[in-house]
Amino acid sequence: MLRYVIRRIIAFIAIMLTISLLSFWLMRLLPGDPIVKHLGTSYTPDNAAQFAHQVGLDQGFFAQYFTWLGHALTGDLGYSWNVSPNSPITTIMSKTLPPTIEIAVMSQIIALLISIPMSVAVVRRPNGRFDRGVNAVMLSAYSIPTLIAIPILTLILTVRYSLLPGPSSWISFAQDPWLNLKVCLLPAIAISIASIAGHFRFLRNDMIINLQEDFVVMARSKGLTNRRILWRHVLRPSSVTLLTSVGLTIGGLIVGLFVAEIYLAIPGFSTQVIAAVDTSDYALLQACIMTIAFIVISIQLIVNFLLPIIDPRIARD
Amino acid sequence: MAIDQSPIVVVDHLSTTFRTPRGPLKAVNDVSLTLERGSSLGIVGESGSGKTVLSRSIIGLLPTQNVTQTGTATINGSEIIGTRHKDLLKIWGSEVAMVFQDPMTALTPTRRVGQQIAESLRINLNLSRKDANLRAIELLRQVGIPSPERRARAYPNQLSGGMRQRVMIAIAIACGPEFLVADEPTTGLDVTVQAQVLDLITDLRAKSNLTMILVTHDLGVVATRTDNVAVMYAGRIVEQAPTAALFARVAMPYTKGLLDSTPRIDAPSHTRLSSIEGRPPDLVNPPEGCAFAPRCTYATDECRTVRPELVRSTLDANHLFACHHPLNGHQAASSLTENQ
Ligand SMILES: Nc1ncnc2c1ncn2[C@@H]1O[C@H](COP(=O)(O)OP(=O)(O)OP(=O)(O)O)[C@@H](O)[C@H]1O
Ligand code: SF4
Ligand SMILES: [Mg+2]
Repeated sequence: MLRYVIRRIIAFIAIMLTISLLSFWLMRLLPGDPIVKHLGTSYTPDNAAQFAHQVGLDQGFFAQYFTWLGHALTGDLGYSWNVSPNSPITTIMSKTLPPTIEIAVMSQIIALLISIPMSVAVVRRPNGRFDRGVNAVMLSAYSIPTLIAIPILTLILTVRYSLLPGPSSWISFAQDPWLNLKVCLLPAIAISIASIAGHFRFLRNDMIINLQEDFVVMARSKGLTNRRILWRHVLRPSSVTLLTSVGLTIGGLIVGLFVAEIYLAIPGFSTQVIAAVDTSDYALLQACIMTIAFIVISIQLIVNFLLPIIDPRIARD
Repeated sequence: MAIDQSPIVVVDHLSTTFRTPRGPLKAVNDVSLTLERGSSLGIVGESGSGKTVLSRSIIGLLPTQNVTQTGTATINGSEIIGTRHKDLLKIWGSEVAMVFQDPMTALTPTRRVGQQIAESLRINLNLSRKDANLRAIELLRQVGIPSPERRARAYPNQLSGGMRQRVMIAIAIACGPEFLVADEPTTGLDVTVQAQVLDLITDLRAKSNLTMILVTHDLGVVATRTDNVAVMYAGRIVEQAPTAALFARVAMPYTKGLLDSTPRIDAPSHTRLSSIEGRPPDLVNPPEGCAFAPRCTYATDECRTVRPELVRSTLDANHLFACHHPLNGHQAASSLTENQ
């Protein structure tokens, strides 16, 4: 167990370092000069040299990288260059990350609340009429991009029935919790559509496979109802692929979040990243990339940790 | 108090057919049998002969899709065939129970073994959660599991094969069933553990007058653990007799083949009964006459065209066989079906 933890931590650090180096390098290949963006109309060669010196751009690549790394390891991510000059990046993050995480978590809760009961319902009669109907709906849902789901949902939920606030009505949880949840709901639903379809497919297929197992006949021979057998005996061993897929599809989720935030003008993390790219704010962009990497890898780590708890047959390598 | 003398299980002309892509597959073909209370019936036969399907048909535990059944099977007078799932739920677990071949695949991998026993108690006997848990530990102790309090919290994969089989038996007997179907309960266990598990079953049966069907490949097990034997081939019972009578005077060439191919004591355990020449018939297109004819050294033209009925032997009215040329001096007394 200890060796397992140590191995995982070492791998974690190695991946984070690799990503940091790669992104540090690739970022500097992006078109756009951070100095020009920073100085704008007050650009003079002197000002430029001064800013370059201030942020370290006058040094060699590795010198810049290791300076950044040294600070980052102590939790100091520096200051934004261009997006909101001279604000500490940690402060910016603490403002922009919560809306995004809130929407992401909400979308996954919705996805699980719908896909799990749906799967349990259809596998009572695999390939029956209900199963085939739901499958067809799920398949089409899977191919609806968030880009299209959002305007449609806005039309229905905001314009037609005025149930939820529309674009540009962002309000933070601290200001008005109830309204905040309502604002988050529309993008969360839009993003959850693809997740519902994905989770459903994995869960349904695994449940159908597990329903062929002897332990199901055994459970029936004990006099358990089908309902109990599905929820208590079949669901958990069938969740392994689902859980793995939550880890693997996080990339798609991030893309959905980007689309939703831009479309609905939510001042979240995605908006932040786009502003950072736009203004060549290397310091902020680097911090954003490391944050995404940290979240993605942590989720993988948590999934790997949870798998043997969900199904004791799975060994921790 | 009068002791109930009526048979506990009565199966009459039972057939079970699966709809398969190749056509209907008759896995159980016109089987009739009776089990007296407290008796044990061994079902033997080659792989694919229909032992599992027959034993599960009798207790109604078949997959519901793509199956058609004819005939009847009653347990304690209640009809099983064609009965709604809702009504079968009442007898499963409390009146009938089952022990499976492979306890690794037959225990739910994601539930603690104590939970798996306790839930049966809670549902069938309405015990409270606490009482059920205590009773589950008691049952684990009863089936010979050391430190049952600790083992109750284990997942199946954390126990040895023999231990898992004991857990399965604990689940089966939890609610005091009267009828137990054990489908190859010791196949896959090593010889000493096999004997221990069979002793345990024998012991529990004696204590509660439990009636049992024991499906097995192992004729050695049949010889020592059953009162009667039914031999299956291609979905039919082709020979049936009290155990001692069967071993003393085999009537069917097929049964003789099974006996001859039984591994000796010193051979590796659970060797499959596979050394009869040739292969069992295709159940989608069964042969016209005796299903065993293509593999039988005694086969004649009659065997290939006229299917032999299951009949009583003149030597022993309890010895039934379905063969035109029986061995060991057996002769057909009368057709069973004509009698009924
Ligand atoms: N669900 C099913 N669908 C279609 N055919 C089936 C099904 N279950 C069993 N069969 C067929 O029924 C026949 C009898 O199978 P069964 O499992 O009863 O044999 P068995 O005597 O128990 O064999 P073994 O000794 O290998 O356990 C086989 O030909 C099998 O292929
Ligand atoms: S009926 Fe004929 S073919 Fe069939 S077992 Fe008897 S002798 Fe052999
Ligand atoms: Mg079988």
